[in-house]
Amino acid sequence: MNDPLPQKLQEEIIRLVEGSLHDELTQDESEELSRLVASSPDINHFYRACLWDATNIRTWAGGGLRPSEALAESEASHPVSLPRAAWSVFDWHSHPLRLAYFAAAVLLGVCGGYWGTRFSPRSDAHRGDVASATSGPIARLVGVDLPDWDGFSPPINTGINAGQKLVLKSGVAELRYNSGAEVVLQGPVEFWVGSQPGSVNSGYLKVGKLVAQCETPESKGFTIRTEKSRVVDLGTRFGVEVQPSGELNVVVLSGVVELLSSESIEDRPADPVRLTANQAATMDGEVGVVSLHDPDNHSHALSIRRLWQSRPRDQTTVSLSAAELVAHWTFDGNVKDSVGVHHGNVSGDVSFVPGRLGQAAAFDGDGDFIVMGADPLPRTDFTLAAWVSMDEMSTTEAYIAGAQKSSVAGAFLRVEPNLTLMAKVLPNDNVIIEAASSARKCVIGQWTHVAMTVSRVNGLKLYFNGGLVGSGDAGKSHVVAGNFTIARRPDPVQIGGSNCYWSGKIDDVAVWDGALTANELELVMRLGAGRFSEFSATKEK
Amino acid sequence: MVEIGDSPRAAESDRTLEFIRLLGNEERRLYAYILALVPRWSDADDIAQQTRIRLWQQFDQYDSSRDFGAWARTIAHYLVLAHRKKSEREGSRMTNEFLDAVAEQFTQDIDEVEVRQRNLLICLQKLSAGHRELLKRYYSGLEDRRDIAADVGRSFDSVRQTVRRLRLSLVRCVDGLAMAEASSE
Repeated sequence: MNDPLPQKLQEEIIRLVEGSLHDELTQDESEELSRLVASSPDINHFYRACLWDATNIRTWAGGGLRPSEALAESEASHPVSLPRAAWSVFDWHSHPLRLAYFAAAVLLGVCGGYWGTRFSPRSDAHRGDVASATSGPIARLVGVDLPDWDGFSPPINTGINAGQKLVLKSGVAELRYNSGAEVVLQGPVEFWVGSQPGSVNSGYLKVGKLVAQCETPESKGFTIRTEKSRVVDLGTRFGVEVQPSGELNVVVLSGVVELLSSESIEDRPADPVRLTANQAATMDGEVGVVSLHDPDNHSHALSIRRLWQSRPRDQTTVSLSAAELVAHWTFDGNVKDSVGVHHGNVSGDVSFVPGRLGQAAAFDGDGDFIVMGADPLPRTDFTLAAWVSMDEMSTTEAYIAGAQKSSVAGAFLRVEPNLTLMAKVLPNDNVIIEAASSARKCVIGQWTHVAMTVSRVNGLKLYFNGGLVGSGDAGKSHVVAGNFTIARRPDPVQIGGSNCYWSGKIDDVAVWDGALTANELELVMRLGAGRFSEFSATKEK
Repeated sequence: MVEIGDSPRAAESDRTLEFIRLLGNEERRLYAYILALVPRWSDADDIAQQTRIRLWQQFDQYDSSRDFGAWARTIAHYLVLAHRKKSEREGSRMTNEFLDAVAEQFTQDIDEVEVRQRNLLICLQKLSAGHRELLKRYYSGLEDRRDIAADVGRSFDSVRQTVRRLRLSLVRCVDGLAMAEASSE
């Protein structure tokens, strides 16, 4: 047998096979099944395995096979320990051919009345119950990323009382419990701080996604409850996602958690499913069927990992920026400077199209550009950043933004004919300091965030999608050219008969008085220049 | 054919017994083969029945030195093609590439049918009683599946989705046991 098929593909084949067996497929679906099976020996094998199992199940269902005899005959000799409970785990990591995969199946029988009732706070009454049972905040909001709250909208560092419902329509928010447990919520999400009266080390996730980390002794046992389950931390980092359908996904990034179902099918307590690092499980929203799967390939696991890696707490560790946004062109339907007086004048037929953030300015590469009346770039200690997307390669340099007078003055960003990014500053007459992204190239049709900083201390630095890709120590300042231009070489000098026009889109062009750090530029990339400035201002308060 | 008994009647009886024995040994694999080529219960059942009849009718032509299973699958394949020809008139479902790929791979993995059967029985025991019962009712063919859904108080789509999940878990469980066996050898 070869490596397992991706879970989504397995699910699709099962769906098609079951539909085919019961004559429920459309002709298109039948042809899709036929095509899939013929396309790959692995799919062919999985397909036949599904049918063989179906045959055997039907025979068993008709009384033709007797499980007890088969068990008595073969269970003892199997090297895989098969627990008594209605779930089982098969760790493919242990197999030499499956080192990269974890594929298993867990079937979880659940108990009636094990916890008495479901965990869901039935209404806002829950909030009152919990609040009255626990005095004072049990958690604090320590970070946000573009949060769009519905209802309660706490600022950073707000203490959160037990029972408080948080509804995040979009964006990310991070909580830190007094116990030390940290929870990152990603909207859309509905979450209660404290899952039941008196509980100060738990939360209730109605719908949405979160990642929790529990590294302190006090946070051990931190519990995330959902409508039909309870995920208990045993010293770890894990993610939980509840779909609107009720399907539960749990991913363990490190450590161990126990997953318990609250639903009842049989009259006995459910055995907890213990998940360890790099294991992931999906629990059916209706009957508590849990399947373990390969977290490396599973979209839920990947999104959980991404959420943790991009948690907003990182933002609070960014030192307050001394830089001030002095010019910002959002290109949301116009070329106005949203923070200053450097409004643009359009040449050619620049249009406004859906961009990276709102709208972007679109240039056809043939006479379209925007020029500002004055130069917003300070002589030194400044930052220039933008989102750019090229429509086609240029035989000459393609200018993004900046100022230039021949080889005597200016500072600018452009893309070279080989698609590398270039930043240049001219600190003195005929002295040109440059930084190039030799290892990173723009991709036609893809958005790239570009930025250059110039400072007396660190010289010229060039950033490509938030990462430092080039520098020029001697680029500590520039001679002011006074002709700040977007999408064309600023001066009239032609290269190969061309004014080096930009063909494609440009968005969110911004100039700061001050050199932003790499962390700050990463935030600019994630939040946008305007939101970054709001964020910095909020922190300063 | 060599006569085994001491009279024509006894010989015929012996041939009948031999046919039943051979077919009995092969029937599960034969049905699996047919179902893989025609993945619809009703059609596979029909073709399996036609195959049994044809095998019996042509048993005189069977060379006992040959693999009965291979001979039976050849006849079954012929009937599958005939069925497909008829289906084409009603709107073809499966392509030649599909049939060729499945038939070719089947012969390579033929022993897996038996292994999966044994392991499936083990994995069925890992289900909760409720899920086992649901699966049994769903697959027994004795009840309308919509009636089963109504009986357990759930929508048909919901029950169908649960069965798919159970099926996926069982496939993985069976695969896991097979791999564990392979790694211990």
